[in-house]
Amino acid sequence: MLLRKITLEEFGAYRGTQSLDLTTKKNKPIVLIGGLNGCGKTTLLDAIQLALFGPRARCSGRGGKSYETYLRESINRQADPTRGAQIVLEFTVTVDGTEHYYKVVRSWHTSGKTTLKEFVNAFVDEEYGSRAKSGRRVEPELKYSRVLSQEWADHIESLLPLEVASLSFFDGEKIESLADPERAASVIESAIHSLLGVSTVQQLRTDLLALQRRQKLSDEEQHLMDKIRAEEQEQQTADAALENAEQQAAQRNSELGKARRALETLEAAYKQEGGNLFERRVEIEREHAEISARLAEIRSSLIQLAAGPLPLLLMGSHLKELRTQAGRERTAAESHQVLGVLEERDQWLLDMLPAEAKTAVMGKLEVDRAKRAKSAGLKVNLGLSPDTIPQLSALDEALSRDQARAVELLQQAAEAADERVQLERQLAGVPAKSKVEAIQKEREDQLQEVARLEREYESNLNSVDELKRRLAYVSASLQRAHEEFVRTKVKAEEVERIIKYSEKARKTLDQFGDALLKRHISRLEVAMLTSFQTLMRKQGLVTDLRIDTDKFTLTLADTDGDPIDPGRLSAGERQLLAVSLLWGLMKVAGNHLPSVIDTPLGRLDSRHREHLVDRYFPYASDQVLLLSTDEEIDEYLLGRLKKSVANTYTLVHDDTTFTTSVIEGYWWNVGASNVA
Amino acid sequence: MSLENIRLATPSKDRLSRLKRTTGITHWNVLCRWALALSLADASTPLVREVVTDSNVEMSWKTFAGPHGDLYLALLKQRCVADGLEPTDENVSNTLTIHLARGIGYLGAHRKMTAIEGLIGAVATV
Repeated sequence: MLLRKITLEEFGAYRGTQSLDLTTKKNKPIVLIGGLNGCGKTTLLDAIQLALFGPRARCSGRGGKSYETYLRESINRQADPTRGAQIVLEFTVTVDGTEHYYKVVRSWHTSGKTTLKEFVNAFVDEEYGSRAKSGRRVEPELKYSRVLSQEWADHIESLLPLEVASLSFFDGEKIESLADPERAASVIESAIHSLLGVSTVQQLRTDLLALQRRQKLSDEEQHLMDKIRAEEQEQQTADAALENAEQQAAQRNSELGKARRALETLEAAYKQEGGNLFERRVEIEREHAEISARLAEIRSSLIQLAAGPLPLLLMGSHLKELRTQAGRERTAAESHQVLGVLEERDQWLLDMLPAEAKTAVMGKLEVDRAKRAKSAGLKVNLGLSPDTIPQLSALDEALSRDQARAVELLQQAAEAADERVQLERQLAGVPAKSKVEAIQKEREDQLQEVARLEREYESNLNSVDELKRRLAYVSASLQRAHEEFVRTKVKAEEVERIIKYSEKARKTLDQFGDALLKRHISRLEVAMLTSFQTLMRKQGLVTDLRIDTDKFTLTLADTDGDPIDPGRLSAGERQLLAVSLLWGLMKVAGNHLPSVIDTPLGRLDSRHREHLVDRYFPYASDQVLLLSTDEEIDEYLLGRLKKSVANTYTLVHDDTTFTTSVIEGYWWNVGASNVA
Repeated sequence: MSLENIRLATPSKDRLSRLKRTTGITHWNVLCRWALALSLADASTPLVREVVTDSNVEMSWKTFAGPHGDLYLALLKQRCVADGLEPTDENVSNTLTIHLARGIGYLGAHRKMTAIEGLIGAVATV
């Protein structure tokens, strides 16, 4: 960073517009600004800081006042407060390898008694570096940047941290305090952290942590996870249900097996108890019924037969008598009929006979007729009809026929009855119904039980199947969810990787930070010691310098290695120590910041002043703004310094108007601005 | 002729009712024929000479005797004569009534006769 130009308008003691060109040249890094006490050297230093940092600037004139009060009081007393004051600072900074030209304008004015308005306008030329090669002076092409203007405070912090600035812009009056061990420690700490990039490492670590914390699963992914969990839950449930169902089915199956075995046992028992015979009973009963029917049939035939002439068979002898009687009656009837005929015929014959024979013949004929009459007369006459004999003959025929038939039927009936008896005996052999009934009932119950169990088993198997299907469905869905999840997981793994590596990186950065710190500290030790020894008159006083890596405390050691209490050093020596601390810091940081040194030689003796002028100022930085009184850099020292000075200014204070104006040149070469 | 209608005595009717059941013969006349034959076959004279025919069972002679009516009538007459009676209508009718009552008694008394086989067997196996 190089300061190019500062322009003050109505700021503090500076009346009107005062401008200082602060550009340095190669090998001429010093801009020497002379001024008596109270002329505004420190005000100039304050102006630079105020322009850059505004309210955060550590201005010497501010003290405990509020920023607004400070600004109000900083407006030149003779100027119009409503027009206000303004500081314009131009500088170049190398950003990303290119030199940028910045111009920051900070102005403020009051409006009314209490209100104060402040404006910051930033202009930038980002192409300045490419046009300003080979050290030629080129006019910058500045453009107003709204973004920079609005966020100047942030931007300047990235260009020049306040902590660093406070080290590079130091007031000689206060420099001595740096030699105090406590103060030195804090300065060293902040310097090392901000100036030497250790804070960057720390910032990096913090950023990594923030990055790490940003890596979270999105809502969608969370939703997916929830879904997977829910489906996993469901799968587990289905799994459990399936297991349960399968168990139930297995149990049912074993129960079924048991029931079937029980049925077998029962059937065996049933057979043993005559169960089969019992079943045959029906058949036997059927046969029995059949034979009974046949018997009944035979009987009905017998009954029919009984309705016939069979009863007459009982009366065989009477019928025989009847037949005889009938025969007799017929003969009698016949004889009766023949007798009359014979008498007529006998008469007719007698008439024809001669009388002699008549008597003899007549006698003979009468005998015959008496005989015949005798046969015609019956002791018993039943008055039977003449058909009786044929009727009896027919009856005999019918009776013999019916008798044969009756014998046959009786034979059949006897056989049937026998068979029936046989069947009845068999039926008696069939177990009592009640005895079998129990076991049969049991068997029937068992059969029903088996059927029931079979149905249940069936339904269990069905439910198992259904659950299997459901499980398959859930599994498939889970699978899909998993696949989806895998895609997310890749992202999640990426997140994890980021976290892992950022963790690792943070650790590395931590180590790196430590190593860097140690390295910087050791370099600072060397640089400080070298600077101190370069500046010190008593070369042998301090031979070693140590900085504690934890507390950043400064320890000096003498030739014997014994520590030296800084309190034993003189005020001048302490000032030198402070200067060498700053110089050392700048050396280690790479000399890229301007050093503004206010009242640098206050308490030093001539030898020390010579050392500073010869050995420090020309090498302190690429740009050194030296604010000095005529007593500090006097004519003799100016001569020694001249070859390194790029520009000289003198601040002249008019005691009557209490205003300061800038004049080119130093007291002994006023007007010769560019001393070659 | 008084043989037009034949009426049974109440005890006879009761016995016949049972015999109808046991033998399976459903007609009164058939059983009565057997009863008459049985009684006529017994040569002894029936002890009971008077039978009160007071039941409601009544049949005609034709129904009673069937196709062999003449023979039955002849046999009855023959019995009357054998018993020393004139075979008048009255005597024949009386004889029929008495013998019917006795025959029915015989039918019921013989255990064998209570079944159809026994009844038939009584004539067929002779």
